[in-house]
Amino acid sequence: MVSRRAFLRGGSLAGLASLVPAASAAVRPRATWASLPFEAVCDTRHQDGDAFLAAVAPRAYRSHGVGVDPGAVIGVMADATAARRVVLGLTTPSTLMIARQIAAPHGYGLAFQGEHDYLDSDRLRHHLRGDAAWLDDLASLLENSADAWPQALGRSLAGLPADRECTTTRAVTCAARHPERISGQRVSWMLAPLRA
Amino acid sequence: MRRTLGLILLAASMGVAASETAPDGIDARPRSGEKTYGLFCEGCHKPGTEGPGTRVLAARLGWDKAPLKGRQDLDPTYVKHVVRHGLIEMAPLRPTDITDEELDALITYLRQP
Amino acid sequence: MPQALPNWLTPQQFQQAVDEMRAVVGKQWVVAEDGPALRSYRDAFSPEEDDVFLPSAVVAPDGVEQIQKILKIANDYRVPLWTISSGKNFAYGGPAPRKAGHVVLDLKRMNRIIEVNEEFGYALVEPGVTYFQLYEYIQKKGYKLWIDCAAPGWGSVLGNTLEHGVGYTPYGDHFMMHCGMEVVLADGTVLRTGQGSLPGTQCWQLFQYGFGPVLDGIFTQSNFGIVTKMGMWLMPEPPGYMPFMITYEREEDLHAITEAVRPLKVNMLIPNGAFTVGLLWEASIKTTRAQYGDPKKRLPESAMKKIMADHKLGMWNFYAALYGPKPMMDNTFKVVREALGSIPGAKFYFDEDRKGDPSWDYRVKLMRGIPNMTEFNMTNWVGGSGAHVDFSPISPTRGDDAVKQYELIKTRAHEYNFDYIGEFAVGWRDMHHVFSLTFDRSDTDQRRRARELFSALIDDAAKAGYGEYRTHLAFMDKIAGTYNWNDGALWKLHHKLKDALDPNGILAPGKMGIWPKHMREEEA
Repeated sequence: MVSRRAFLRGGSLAGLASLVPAASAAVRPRATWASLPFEAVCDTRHQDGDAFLAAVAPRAYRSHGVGVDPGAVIGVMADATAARRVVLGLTTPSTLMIARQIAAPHGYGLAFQGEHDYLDSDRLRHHLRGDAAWLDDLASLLENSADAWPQALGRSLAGLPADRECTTTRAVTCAARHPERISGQRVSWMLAPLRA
Repeated sequence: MRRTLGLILLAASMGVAASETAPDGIDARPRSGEKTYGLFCEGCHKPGTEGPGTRVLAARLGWDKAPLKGRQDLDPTYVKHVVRHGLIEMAPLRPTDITDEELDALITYLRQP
Repeated sequence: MPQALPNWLTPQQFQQAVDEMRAVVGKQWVVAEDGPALRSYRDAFSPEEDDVFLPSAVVAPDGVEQIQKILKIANDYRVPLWTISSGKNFAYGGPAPRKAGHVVLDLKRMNRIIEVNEEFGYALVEPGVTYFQLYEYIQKKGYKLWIDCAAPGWGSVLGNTLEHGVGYTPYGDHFMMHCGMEVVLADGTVLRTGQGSLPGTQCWQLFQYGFGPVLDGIFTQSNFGIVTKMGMWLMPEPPGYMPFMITYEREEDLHAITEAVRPLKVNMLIPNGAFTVGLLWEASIKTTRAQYGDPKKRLPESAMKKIMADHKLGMWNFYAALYGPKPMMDNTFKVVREALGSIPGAKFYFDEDRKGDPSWDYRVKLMRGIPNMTEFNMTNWVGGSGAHVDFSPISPTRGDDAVKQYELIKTRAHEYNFDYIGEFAVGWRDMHHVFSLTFDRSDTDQRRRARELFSALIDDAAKAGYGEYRTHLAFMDKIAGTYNWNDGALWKLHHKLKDALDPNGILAPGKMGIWPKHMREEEA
């Protein structure tokens, strides 16, 4: 069994495509979610959302683009919670707030949350909350991913266990040259049925 | 006797006037949660099939859980968010419609059955 | 994104002006930074992106004195102020200004009901008074008076009237029923129109004309002054009220309905704002397009029959009411029934037949002045983030014209893959034909098609000799351009008045295509 650390660091840091584990590396599937597909929600008005979506879509049960109206996430969460599916997202904070409200009565909680802020000096800050078992590795990965952070994040989230609420926080900054100005913060998240 | 009666009547009428907290026709602010609900929420969120908000929520929650008043599952931060940002067809309510203070009172009022 | 500012103001000037306004109204009542408070002034139904009509700041005064002080600052810096009353004019722009970066002057805090007079039947109100508020006040006082409200009850009594809005009772022509205004001009002068200029008058809300030119009209749908008080006549509660509905089975019945209703309206036998409502307007109150077809496409004709059967509706559904003592209503109804019932397939319905049906119940309320919000159900029709802009040409109350307009709009709407959702508000001699162009705001393609359709309709209507009575921010210039008889004489006069009354151009630039001098020169 490959440790999660090795899984996350699989391959060279420059070649992020190699995050997909080599055939010989046996990776323990996500604990109780191995047979449960996840849904993905992305704000596709910006490149970050597109990149995240491209990274998770091949492994997602369904993917959804959310545009100008965060209310679009309501239908997604209603369906997902009815089927007890995990939902991954890279969206505005508004969309996450709505998603959380819809999911909370169904026992859903946040297994992961990230805030991603482009700072003035072409630096990017990731503020992450997750489980101590893998958060350091994820933080490290993003610190070294520069502009490719949405792909790296998406691929990682798709393979992470989501069986407990966020307990640990990490913050990292890195250089990132962002091609277009985005107004407002982006948040990444994983909502999962954590309570009966 | 008449004088006493007169004084009693005078006192009674003053008592009536004094029980109004604001002069006639002035919509005193900050409004109570109940007043705010009546002016801004009830039209769309009342029980029954007329309210557009209730109708949309009923599709997801069922008609009996859809009316806004009495819901216990609404996070106050979420309610504030929806009021200020709007949601789907619901337009935002501005600070001149509902101040932050009035919004807090509204949220308390909404929790009551 | 950095806020847009009027391009003749530097950020420092803007900041100084805002600081001075803060000193007038208090910090709490000025918003000048991007955030939820500022963005709550977005047009929730905009056919454009939100930022196209987003203000740079908002200032909310509590009365005439504060308005005068703000105007002084605005004149000093040339800050453009877009005035709103309750800011609920959705489908026409809501609280948003005509140009991004302009400042909204929000009068919602001015919400005193100054007087309600039961003896003569009138109210004197400030801009922030809504239909809900006035109705509740009258109920609380036990006055035997009715209000006449627009469909959404949270709208402003004064604001809707300034927009030439219409209602559903015999007092449905709101501007016709207003009486007396108080106005603050751009230079801070306060004046009162009509009898209001006679100190000590008892007749400010009793007689509309005063002495000399009647200027009230120039303060409606315009940017010549800020209306801070308005009188409104209120109908005394009648001894009887008889709402009724007639369904008609065929599309072509529109001609006969219109011909039959004209003499009934010109002769005032039907006294109220009657409505000939299209099938899909009715349906959209109670159901959604997804129930009958692909929600992303306009509904096929084949679905219409099913909707009619499911909801007991006609292709056209006529609503009106009679008022007064029962013997009078019964007598008048004989004439009404003969005229409107002569069309084959006509079916009459009364309260006992349809009570409990939301699309009946809300019209029964509106036709007797009980405010509600039921009509907002219409935005659910298309799903997604439902919104609408209203295309509203005026039509003679004549069958040929009604059909011509209906065909014109329906054909174009179908070309752009939108449903015809429309109704005719039948007035005394005209009809306000409202086409509710309903679209999913979150769909960029639908938004674009909605704008293109609307623009095409303006051209089509003008070619056929029809003009709109009111419109959304996005189309004000275009429609103003269609009212161009005699080389645009009317709008030239509007601009002369504008330059005289507001030389610095601080009041609502662009309202109805009226621009201040310095912005006209820019465009030229």
